[in-house]
Amino acid sequence: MTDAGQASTPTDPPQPPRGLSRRRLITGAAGVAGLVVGAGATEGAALLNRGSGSAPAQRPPTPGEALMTGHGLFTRLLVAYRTAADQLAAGDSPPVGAITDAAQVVADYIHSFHEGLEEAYVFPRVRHDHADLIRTLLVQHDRGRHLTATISTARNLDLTRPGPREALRGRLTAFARMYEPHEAREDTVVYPALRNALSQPQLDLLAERFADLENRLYGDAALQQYLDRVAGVEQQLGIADLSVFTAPASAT
Amino acid sequence: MLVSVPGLGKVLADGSRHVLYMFPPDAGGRVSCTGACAGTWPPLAIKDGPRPAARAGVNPQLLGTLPDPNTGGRAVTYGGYPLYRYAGDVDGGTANGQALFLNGGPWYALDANGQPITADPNGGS
Repeated sequence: MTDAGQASTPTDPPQPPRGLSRRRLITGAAGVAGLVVGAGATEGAALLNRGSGSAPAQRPPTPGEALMTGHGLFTRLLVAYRTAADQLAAGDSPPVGAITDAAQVVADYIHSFHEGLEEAYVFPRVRHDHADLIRTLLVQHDRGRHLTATISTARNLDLTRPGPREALRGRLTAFARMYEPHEAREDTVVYPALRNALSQPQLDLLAERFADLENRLYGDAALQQYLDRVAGVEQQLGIADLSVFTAPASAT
Repeated sequence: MLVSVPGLGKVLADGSRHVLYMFPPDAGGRVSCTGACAGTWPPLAIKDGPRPAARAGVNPQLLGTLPDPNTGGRAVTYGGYPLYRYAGDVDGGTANGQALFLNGGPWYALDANGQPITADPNGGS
């Protein structure tokens, strides 16, 4: 339509720090001996070097840490999908509300926010060195959104019939099967590449940007609220207790 | 320009044949998709100053621009609707974003008259 127009990507204007729910979650709300998820050697050394007599400064999570926390939430949803699919395959009837609740969290938080951050701020910065991988990740984002749209209508299915049960089981399995290696590639290739591509001040600015966008969209404590919803899904499916996944002694 | 997409017919596209979408929450003449949304749906941007150029089949009188809060520049409009690409259209000539409900609303391709096409080639899924 136009030769002059080109797709824009959001710029990264400096943003003032706000109430950072994701930061609190990752670094520890009290700011004392905060748990640092995925901290690199430099950050680890900085923590060790802090004087014991003074309260450590609250450090925002790096963009990679923030995105990997989103992946942690997402992985729990994938486990929920796998569990529901297993129950369907075994002839049981998983609570459909758990499946649609999980799909809603996927749509609201993963597809509408997490993947948008990647597409806006991460992929463009690493595409040059990982063109084929980024293309595949984009195709999978699209495929995932369409699968979620279908899974979200599970309430309309007659799950007493084999056909709809198998169709739903297939979609849940296909979704989890696609996103498990997808997340792993992002964690081990894409996010480290982002870290290497940006300077520390640029990473700090991006981290603030992520936190600010999350707060604008969802309000304070957004991630914790989504984690609570995931816990509700797990409760409905009978997988709230982590120990149910412990391998039996007979398997060792 | 216009491209033919199975199930939709001829729809508006940019110069690289990527289908362009409108977002109903933009009614009122503003670009409401910002931040993470604009990663998935990048507005069709143009530098402040030049007017977008129409190719065959596109009505130049329907072209315009609006402020783009994502870049500080201008976003191209057609029939008053800000135009967006979809990150999931990795190749030109596809409309994978058609009728997808995402980021708070549905996304629709436009015909040459600037009318949203609401058909869902995936049958409502």
